[in-house]
Amino acid sequence: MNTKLIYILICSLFLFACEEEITLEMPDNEAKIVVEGFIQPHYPVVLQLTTSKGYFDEITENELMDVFISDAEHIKVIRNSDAVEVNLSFFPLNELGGVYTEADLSSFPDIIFDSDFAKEGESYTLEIIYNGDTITSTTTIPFAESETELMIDSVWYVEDELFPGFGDFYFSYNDADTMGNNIMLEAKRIYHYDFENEKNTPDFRFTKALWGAVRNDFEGFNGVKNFVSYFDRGEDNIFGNAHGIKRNGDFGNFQASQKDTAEIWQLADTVIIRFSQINEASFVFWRDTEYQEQMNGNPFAEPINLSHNINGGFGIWEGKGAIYFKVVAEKETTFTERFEPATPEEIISVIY
Amino acid sequence: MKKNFFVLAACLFSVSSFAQEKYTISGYVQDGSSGENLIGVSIYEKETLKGTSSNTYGFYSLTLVIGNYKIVYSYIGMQEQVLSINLNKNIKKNIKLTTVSILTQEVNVSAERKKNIESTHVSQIRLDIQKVKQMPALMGEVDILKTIQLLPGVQSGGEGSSGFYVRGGGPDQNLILLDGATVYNASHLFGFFSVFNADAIKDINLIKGGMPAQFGGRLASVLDITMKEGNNQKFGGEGGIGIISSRLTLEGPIIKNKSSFIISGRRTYADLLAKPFLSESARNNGYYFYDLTAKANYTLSDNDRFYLSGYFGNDVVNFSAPSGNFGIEIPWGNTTASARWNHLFTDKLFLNTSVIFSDYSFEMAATQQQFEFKLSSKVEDWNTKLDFTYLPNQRNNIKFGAQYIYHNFMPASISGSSGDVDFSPETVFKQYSNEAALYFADDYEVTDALKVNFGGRYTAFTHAGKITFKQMLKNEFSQDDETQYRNFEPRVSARYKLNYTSSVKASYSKNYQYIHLASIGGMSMPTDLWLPSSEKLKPTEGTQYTLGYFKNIENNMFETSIEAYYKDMKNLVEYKEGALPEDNANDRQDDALTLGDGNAYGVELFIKKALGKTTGWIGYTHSYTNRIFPEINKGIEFPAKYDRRHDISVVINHDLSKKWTASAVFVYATGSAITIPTERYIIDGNIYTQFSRKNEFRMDPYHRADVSFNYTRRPEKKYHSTWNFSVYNVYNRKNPYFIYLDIEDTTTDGSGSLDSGGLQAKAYQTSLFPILPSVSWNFKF
Repeated sequence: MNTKLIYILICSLFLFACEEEITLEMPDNEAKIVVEGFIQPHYPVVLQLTTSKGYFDEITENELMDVFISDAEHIKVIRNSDAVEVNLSFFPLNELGGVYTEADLSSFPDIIFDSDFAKEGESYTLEIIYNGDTITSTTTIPFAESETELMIDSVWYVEDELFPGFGDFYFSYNDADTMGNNIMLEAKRIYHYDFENEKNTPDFRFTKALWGAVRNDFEGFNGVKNFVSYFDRGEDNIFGNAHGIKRNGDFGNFQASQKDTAEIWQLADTVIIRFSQINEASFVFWRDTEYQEQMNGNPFAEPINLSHNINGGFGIWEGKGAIYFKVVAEKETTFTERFEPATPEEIISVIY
Repeated sequence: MKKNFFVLAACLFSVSSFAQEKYTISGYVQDGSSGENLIGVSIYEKETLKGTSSNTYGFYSLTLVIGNYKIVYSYIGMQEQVLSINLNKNIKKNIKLTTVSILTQEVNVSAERKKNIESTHVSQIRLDIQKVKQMPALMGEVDILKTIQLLPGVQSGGEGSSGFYVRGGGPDQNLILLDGATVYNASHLFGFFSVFNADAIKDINLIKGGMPAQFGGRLASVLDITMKEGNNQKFGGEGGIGIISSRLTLEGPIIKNKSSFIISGRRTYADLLAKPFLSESARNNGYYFYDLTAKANYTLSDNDRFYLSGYFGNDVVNFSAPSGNFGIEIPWGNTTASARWNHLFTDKLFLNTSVIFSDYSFEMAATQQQFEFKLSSKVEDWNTKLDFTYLPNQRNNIKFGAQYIYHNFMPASISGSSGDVDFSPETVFKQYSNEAALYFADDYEVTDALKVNFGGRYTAFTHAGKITFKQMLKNEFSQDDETQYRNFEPRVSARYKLNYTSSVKASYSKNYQYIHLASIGGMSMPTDLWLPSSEKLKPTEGTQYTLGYFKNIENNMFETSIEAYYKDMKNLVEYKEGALPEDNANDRQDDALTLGDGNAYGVELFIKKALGKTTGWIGYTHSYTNRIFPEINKGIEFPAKYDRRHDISVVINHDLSKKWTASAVFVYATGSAITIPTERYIIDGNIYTQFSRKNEFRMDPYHRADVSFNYTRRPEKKYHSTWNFSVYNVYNRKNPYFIYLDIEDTTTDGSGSLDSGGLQAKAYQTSLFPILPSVSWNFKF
C-alpha cells in the first residue's frame, strides 16, 4: 500500500505526460499446456488441463470453453517407489469443462479408485501426452502431521463485530519443529444460504484463503504450539460460485454480489476446510500467484513469472498432506473432530 | 701530487654537489578577482615542460634543480602568467590569475589542453561549470547530474532523471562527494532534479575508471564536487527566477584576503503561488523542495587554512483529503557538514584533515481518522580523513592517507497508533558499521614517455549489528552480529606518450563496496534503502580494466580519445522477485535481498573542443551490461535495465556575440530493456500472466534535442542580468517513459466480458515531457 501510494503521488506530478497505444513485436509462441493437479492420500488424483493464450489475443465468446483440454492422448500417474501407476480419464463437470481423475465418476454413486495408491512420503510422477508432446512433473506428498502431534487442534467461528451475521474461522495450529513446513488453507462452502435468491448456493470448488499458502518456518515461528490465527474465505474467481458473481471484465478482478461480506463467512455456513502440508515447489508457486496479483497493473513493479514445476508446460503438480474439518459457522462451537470422507458424495466434495 | 688530487677531488665534489641541488617553488593559485582557489592549474617550466598541477585547494609544489627558469601558470579561461625566477632557494609564491574573454584571446596552446595526453589519470573528465550553466536545461533548471549524463560511458536513468549509471554500474555505485561529504540521494523530485545548486559549485570532476587510491567505497565512479569558497575581495551575489524554482547566492569577505563566506539557497514555489487559489482544505496540499548550501573559510597563515561547509535540503509532499479524514506528509532529504584544515608541513608536504557528517533520511506519515502510521528510514555517517600530498621531486607525486567512517543505518522503522492503542516497535531496528581505509599512491615519471600511477587501498569493514558506538568501544557486541571484512584494492594506471600529441593509457583497479542500495523498480525513489554489508550481504566487488588511446589534433584544439573497458562485478544486490520495502520492516531488511554477479564492457569515443567561440563535445558509447542472479530470472543471465547498446551525445556551445550565446544538445540512446507479457493462462480460476525472459525486449530508442539562448545585458558591468530561453525536446519527440497494459472492451455496446468475449489487452506507452519551452532570469552583482 505504502509503495503504491508513492507511485500514485509520482504519477500525479506528471502533468505533461501523454500516452499512445503501441504495438509490441511479440515472439511466435505456441500455446502451452497448463496443468493444475494435486494428489492427496486416500482420495483420487485430480487434474485440470487448459491451454495458454497469447497475451494480446482477443478474448472471444468461447474463450473459457476453448481453453479446457479434454482430449489428451494419455495421462498417468506413477508411484516412483514401485512403479505402480494409475491412468486418468476425463469427466465433465459443467459446461465450462471437467477434470481428469483416476476415479471412474461415470459409475456414480459408486466411485471406483485405489484408495491406497496415494500415500504420505511417496513420490509421484505425472506423465501427459498431448498433441504428440510429453509433459511431465514429479512431486511428493508431505506428511500431514506426526503420530504424536496434531497439526490442527481445533476450529471455531467468531462473529465479526462490524458485520453481525458474518465472521471468521479461527484455528489452533502446531508447527513441527523441523524447518521447511509450509501449510495451505482452502475452504469450500457446502451450504451457503443466498438470502437474495432464497436458496442454498454451495461453492463449486475450494477457494484458497486470502493468505492462501504461507511459509511458517521463519525464525521465531518454527516449532510453535497452539498458534491461533484466522482465515478469510478468499476471492471468487472466473468460475464463480453457484449464487452468481458479478464480473467486471478485468482479468482476475471480480466483485461478489455481496459487497464486503464475500470474503468472510456467513452465519450457518457449512464449510469443509482443508489444511495441507505442501512442499517447497508448491509453496513458491502459490506465493508467486499472490505476488503477481499484488503487482497487477503497477507499471513500476518488476514482473515475475510463476514458478511452474511442469516440464514442457505451465502450472503445478503438487502433493498435499491434507486433513479436513467440516465445520458450521455458529457461535460458541469448537470443532475438534476430523472430517474423513467415506461416502461417494463426501469423496467428491474433497477432490474439487 | 696528492695535494693536487685532493684539490681536484674537492672541486669535482663541489661541482657535482652544486649540480644536484634542488629547490622548490610552491604556493597557492587563485582567481585574482575573487580569491577562489583554482583546481588543476598547470604549472610547468617553459623550456622542459616539466611541471605539476594545483590540487583541490589550489596548492602547488614544483621541485627543480637550481637555476633560472620561466614558470608558466596556465588555466582555461584565465590569462596565462609567466614568472621568471632564480631558483637558488625554496620560494613561496602565491599566484593570482585573471579572467580573460575567449573572444579577445587568441587560441592558445597551453598545458591545460595537453592534460588529455600527459596525465596518467584515465577515464577522468573535468566539467567547466560556466559551460554547464549555458547549456539547455529542463524547465530552466541547471542540473550538474544531467550534464554528467552527456558524457560517454555515463547513462541516464531515464527521461528527466538525474540518476546516472557509469559503465554498467548501478546508481548506488557512484560516490558523490560535496566538499568531501557523501551525498546519498542526490535528487529532488523523485530524481528529476539534482540537489546541487550550480551557483555554489566551483569544480566538477568525474572519475569513471582507474579510480585513484584516495577514493573508495564505491565500484563505478567518483563525482567529486567542490563548492566555491566565496569571494574574499568584495561582496557580491547572483541568483535567478525560473519556472520551477528561484535561487539566491550571496558571497563576500569576512576579512578581506583572509576569510570569506558563500551561502546559496533555492526553493520551489508552485505550492506558495497556488495557495491563495485553493480551497481551505486543499491549501496544505502540494509538493516543494528547498536546499541551502553554505561555506566559510579562514586563512590563518601561509601554512594553515580552515574550511567549514554544509548542505541541507529537503523534499516535502503534503496531501490532505477534503473530508479531512486522510492526510499524508512525506519529507526526505540530505544533510552534510564538512570541517577541513589544510596544513603545510613543508613546501613539499601538504595535509588536509577533514571531519565530515552526512545524513539522508526519509519519512512517511499518514493519518486516517484515528489511525496513524509512520515509516522512517535513515543513514548517517561520521567520517574523518587524513590526506597527505608529498612532492619530493618533479618525478614523484605521492599521496597517502587514512579514512574512517562510522555508519549508522536505520533501514526501515514502522510505528503507528489507532485511538489509544500504540504499536511502536520496542526497539527501533538500527545497524552500526565501521569502515576504515589506508591508502598510498605515487604518480611516478619513469621516463619522459612513461609515467605510472601505482598504489593501493587497504580497507576494513566491521558490521557491528545492533550496538552503539559506545558499546563497540567497550567491545560489548554480540558475536553473531559482528561481521568483518578486510580487503586490499590495488590501483594501477600508466601513460605512455607515443609522440607530442598522442599517448596510450591503461589502468587496472579493484574496488570493494560495503554499503548497498536496495531499490524497487527502475527509478530513484525516496524509499530506496541503504544497507550495510553483513553476514548475508557480502561486500560488492568490482574489477575494471581500461585501455585507451588519446590524441590531440589541430594544435591541441581538439582532444580526442577512444577508450575500451571491461568490468566484472560480484555480490551485486537486488530485491528478490516480488519483495517490497514494507516487507520485513522492523526486521532485517537483507532477508528480502539476493546477491548476484554482473559484467559490463564497451568502447567510448570522445571528441572535445574547449577553446574558441564554438566549444563542445561529441561522445559515443557502445556497451553491454549484464546481470546474473540465481534467484532472479531463474538464474539465466539478463541485460540490466539500463543496458544501452548505443549512446550518443552532442553538445555545442557558441558565442554569438558579446551578449548572446547559444547552446544545443542532442542525445540518442538505445531503448531501456523491459519485460513484457507474452501469454495468459488460468490457474485456480484466476488468470495469470507469463512474461518474457527478464529484460528481453526494448522500448523504442530515446532521442531528443534541446536548444537554449542566453542574453546578457551589460556583460562588462559589475551588475548584469542574463535571460535564458530554453526549449527542451525541440522536435517534440514522444520518448517512452514506461509501458503499461490495459484491458479494453472492443465491442461497440460495451458488453465485453469473459463470458461473451470482446476483450483485448493493449499496450500503451507513456511519454513524459513534450516540447517544453522555458525562460528564466538570472542576475549577478
